[in-house]
Amino acid sequence: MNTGDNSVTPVTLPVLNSGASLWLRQGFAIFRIEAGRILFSRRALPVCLLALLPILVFASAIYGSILNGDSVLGTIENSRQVFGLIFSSLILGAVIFLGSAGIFTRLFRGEILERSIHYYLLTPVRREVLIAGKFLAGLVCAFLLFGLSTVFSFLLMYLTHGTGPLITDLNNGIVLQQLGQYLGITLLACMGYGSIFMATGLLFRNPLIPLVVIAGWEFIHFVLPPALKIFSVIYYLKGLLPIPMDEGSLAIIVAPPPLWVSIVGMVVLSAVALTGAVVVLRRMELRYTEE
Amino acid sequence: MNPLTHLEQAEHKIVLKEISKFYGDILGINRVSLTFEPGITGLVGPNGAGKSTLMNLIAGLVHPTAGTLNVCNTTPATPEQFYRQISYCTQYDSFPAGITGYDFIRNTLLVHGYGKQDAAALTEMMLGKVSLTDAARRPVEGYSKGMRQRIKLAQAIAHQPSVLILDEPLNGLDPMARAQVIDLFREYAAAGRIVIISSQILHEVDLISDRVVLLNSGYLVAAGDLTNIQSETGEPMKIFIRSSDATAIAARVFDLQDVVEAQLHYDGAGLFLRTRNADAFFLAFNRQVIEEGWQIESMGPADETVEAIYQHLIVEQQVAT
Repeated sequence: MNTGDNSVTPVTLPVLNSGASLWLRQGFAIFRIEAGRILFSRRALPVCLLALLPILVFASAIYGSILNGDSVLGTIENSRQVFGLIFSSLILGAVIFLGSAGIFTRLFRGEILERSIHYYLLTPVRREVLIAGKFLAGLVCAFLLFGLSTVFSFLLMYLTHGTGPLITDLNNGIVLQQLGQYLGITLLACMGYGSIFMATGLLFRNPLIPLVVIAGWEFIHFVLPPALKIFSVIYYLKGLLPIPMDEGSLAIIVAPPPLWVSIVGMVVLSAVALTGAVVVLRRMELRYTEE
Repeated sequence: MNPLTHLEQAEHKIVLKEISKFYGDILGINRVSLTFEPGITGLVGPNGAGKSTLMNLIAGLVHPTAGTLNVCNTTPATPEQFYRQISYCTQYDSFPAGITGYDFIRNTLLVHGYGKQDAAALTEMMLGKVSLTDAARRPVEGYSKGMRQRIKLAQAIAHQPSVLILDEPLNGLDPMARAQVIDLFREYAAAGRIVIISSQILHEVDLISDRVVLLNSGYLVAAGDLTNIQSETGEPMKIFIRSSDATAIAARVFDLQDVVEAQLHYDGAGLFLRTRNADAFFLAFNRQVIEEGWQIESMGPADETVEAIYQHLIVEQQVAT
């Protein structure tokens, strides 16, 4: 080992700026590191498999249609209904929910469990910047995975009818309009669930507990009274669906919130969850022996 | 290593005032007041003494239950300033999953806010310092224990903090690596920086440290340089005199003030003795050496080691209670 300064070219320590430019630089560094871990590490595999699930469902529908000689999903209107049902139940209710739990919970809890979060906590980074960098990395990666999953599933749904209806609906704007709505919901869902799972990842030692509680709450939201419905993510998203959700005979039906309420509601929910995460992170004491 | 300026050195200390940490009902440390100044300070104490709690408090990883902490005029409440000054190489042998040695250091520097080129240059420099350039592109998980210690050390000093805290930094290092890492600490301290080291290996603390802090059961037992601690313990100081006139000295030594014990070395050319007042003894003994014409080769404290002080202040007290 060499301990002298002569063996390597001495580097004068660069002067760091402070304020917004430093925060941006630090935030981008955190974003880049975390995005790499989310997308290109071993832990990415379960989430990628989850994102593949709806694609496989519609790919098997194409296979069935080829065998059948006609679309197994019925008419094109019927196929859009089926996609709406699968989007609200499988993609939104399972893939995005569980995928966001996997991505965002690990951002802090995963590092606490693998005893490496102190490397971040010992750097001169404002805790707000750390939260923002990690959250944005999670959001972009989640949207990339689940957005692509939504796009491919939607296109595969059309392809059960061949390319003709797809070209027609591309020309008359239906494809872009509905796809845009589904992608918007995907983004808002990743944002809402992501911020909540990030905060619960900091608060709870066992991430399964909040996962089960939130899943239960979201599952029963349709029987909740209106005053409680506003505390569920799905309430803000269902009004944005191009094909309305069938909530069953037990549901307490309330009018879906207007578009602006849905968007502002999700942004406010995320802001509250992330602010809570900042407070928890600032107060956090690191004693791995207790984890 | 860039030395600190005079102004930086004037503000350059860690001050703990009446600092306590309780984990629920369990005592971490209790009402510890200390000042750490530039140089190497060894933290010594048995398991559960509060060494890691003290280091975690200074590094801001845990918050004090009571008392105040100031590190070079900053506190953990302002992480942007605080963690530019301080670096902590923890005892945890864990790393982000799948990370390479190169990325481990470079990512830290990028998060500090360095540009890509500066971060890359500093990373190469640090890898060279700990002789890990060849292994830099391999995952840290595949490193030996000694390599992992060295990469952690390189990561900790990459931004050249003015305070460096190291929890058991010599664990897992082979003798050559130990010597070289110790040189690195000395180089760091010589540049006017504060280095705090905890270690269970007392003779290494003895070798490295300018000062020691002794903790036991969460309480501060002693702090300062070894001579001061030794004299403050009230125990007779053990002195070794190497002389061809050892037998003659042994015959007369009890005439001197405060000598309570004398023992000839097995080769007959040395003498161990204990005195209650070392200063008075040295004064009187020097006078007598001149009068008697004794030949003295060397003379000095024989138990002024961390191990001896540890034995007296901690082990013997524990046995007594």
